[in-house]
Amino acid sequence: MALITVRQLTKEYVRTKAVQGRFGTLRTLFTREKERTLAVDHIDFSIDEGEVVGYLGPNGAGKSTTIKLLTGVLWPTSGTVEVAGPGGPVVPWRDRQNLARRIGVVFGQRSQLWWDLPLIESFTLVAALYDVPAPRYTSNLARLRKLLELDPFLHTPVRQLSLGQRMRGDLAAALLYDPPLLYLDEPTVGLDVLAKETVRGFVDESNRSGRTTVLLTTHDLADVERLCRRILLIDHGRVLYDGAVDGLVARFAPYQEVLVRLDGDQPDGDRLDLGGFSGEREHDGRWRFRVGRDEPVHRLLAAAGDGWQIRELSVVESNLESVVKELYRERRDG
Amino acid sequence: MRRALRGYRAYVRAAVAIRLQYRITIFASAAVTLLWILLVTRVWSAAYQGRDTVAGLSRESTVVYLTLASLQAIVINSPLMWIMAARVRSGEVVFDISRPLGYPGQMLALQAGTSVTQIAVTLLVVPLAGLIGGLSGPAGLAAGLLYPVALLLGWMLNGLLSLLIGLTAFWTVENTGIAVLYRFVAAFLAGASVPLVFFPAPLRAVADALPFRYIVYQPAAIYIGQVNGPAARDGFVVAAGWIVLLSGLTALVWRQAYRRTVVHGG
Repeated sequence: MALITVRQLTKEYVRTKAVQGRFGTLRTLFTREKERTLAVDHIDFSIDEGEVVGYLGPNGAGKSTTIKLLTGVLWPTSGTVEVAGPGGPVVPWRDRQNLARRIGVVFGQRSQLWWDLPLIESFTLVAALYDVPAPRYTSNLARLRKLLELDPFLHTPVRQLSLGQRMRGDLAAALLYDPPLLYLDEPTVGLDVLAKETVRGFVDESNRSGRTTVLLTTHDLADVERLCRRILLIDHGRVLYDGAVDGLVARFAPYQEVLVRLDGDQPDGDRLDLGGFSGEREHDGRWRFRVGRDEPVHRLLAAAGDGWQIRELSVVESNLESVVKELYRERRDG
Repeated sequence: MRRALRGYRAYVRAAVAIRLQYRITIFASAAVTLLWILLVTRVWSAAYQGRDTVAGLSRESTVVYLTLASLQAIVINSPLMWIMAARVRSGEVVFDISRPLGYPGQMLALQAGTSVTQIAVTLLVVPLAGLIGGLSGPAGLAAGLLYPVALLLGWMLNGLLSLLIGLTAFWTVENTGIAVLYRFVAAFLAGASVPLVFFPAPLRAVADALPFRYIVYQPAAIYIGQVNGPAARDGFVVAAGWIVLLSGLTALVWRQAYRRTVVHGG
């Protein structure tokens, strides 16, 4: 059964248009001209209990807005969201306080921890806000301290923590009250390789042992490869793809790339036809060919006899990163 | 209910802890208040020019009033309005809204925590304030008993008004101007530096018609015996009425603010 059901969800931001030119700032104060941006445009999806879903899209695609709508922080322009629960389905913005106890939220770009207080104070405060009984708080904190290695900075004021430490603190705060649903908005942004691995390991563990359902936005596709079986790809507020990670690669990159370096004299120009494949010159002098997954690469090799000698050849499998890069580029150019 | 109370209490405790991190600010503001008491009591004493009573208020009573009023006016200087605006501006308001507690209640709990710290410091400097300005006991037993009640009503009014001003940040993002204006108008019309009895009639009518007078004037005037009996009782009724009205208005404004929330950045 679906835990989250999103139907035709739409959010339009309206803001006063700034007037350019002479006395622009002053005229802006009195202008009535509005600028409308559709951040989320009639999207539909649903997420089952126990899933870890990667919510991807270029900057400004509408990811954060969606998360804020799902958590009930923002009020949508139209459409609806239902989160299943023991007391029946809940619409986030209508029953925000009730839903709040069942969701954990981490926004990588900001922190819910109290900047001026030692980290542990934020935890006791969160426990009180979410009414966590003392024994459960003690056992949860012990588990989180171990998993996220919080002990070295548990009594340090949050403002003195490194980004990685702060993020671990934020994750702990978000899971202190055992929410069955976790929204992570760029939880690994700005973290080093080791800190990223700690965060990923922790999310994986929470999903496996705690059955926590996770919706994750990120620009680091290693997060997705490590954690998610399913991807929701959005851009300009619309869902471009909803399905398995492998499916995305197969659908949007049904080819592999072959890099070829030629011996001796190089052909003129930036394009080269070889065995019926068209190649483009790379910066390093190699030639890049796209070969369909069912097309035989050996035709390229066989073509080598036609005057060009192949010195070096490598096949690059399309992966999530290359596909997503390609998709973002197409969207931007188109 | 019990659940929510636990949450609000935690907010009050956190606000106290946060304020205590900035002890220098607390003591600096206490020093400013003492300096203000020194200036305002000297100026008003001089204004009496040897007369015993002006507008029904003796020189001694005026000095006690001004000392008390200056101490009470500290609550008007709450950082709540800036905190709210700063969190809207940075987008951290996203966390306040996603808590399982009401936003206005959370903000009032923050205000309460701040006030607890301010009151503790104020109590510490009361003897000094008495030396610099002038203090005496309350005008009588009734005055002594009614004074804390009047203070509590005044605190609630100021909390609600600050909250309403803070909520403007959801429309304007930056509300420093509005907040500065509020502090100035509130402190003046509350009678923080001039007892309301000295106001010219039209200004007095304005001050009487607005809720600010219950924040500073009413409690201090009760203490010195300037307001007593039926006048004090009527004052309580009107103050309570304002509290009900402003609570309703706050709920209404918050509902609008929530519907138009924009979380800035990322």
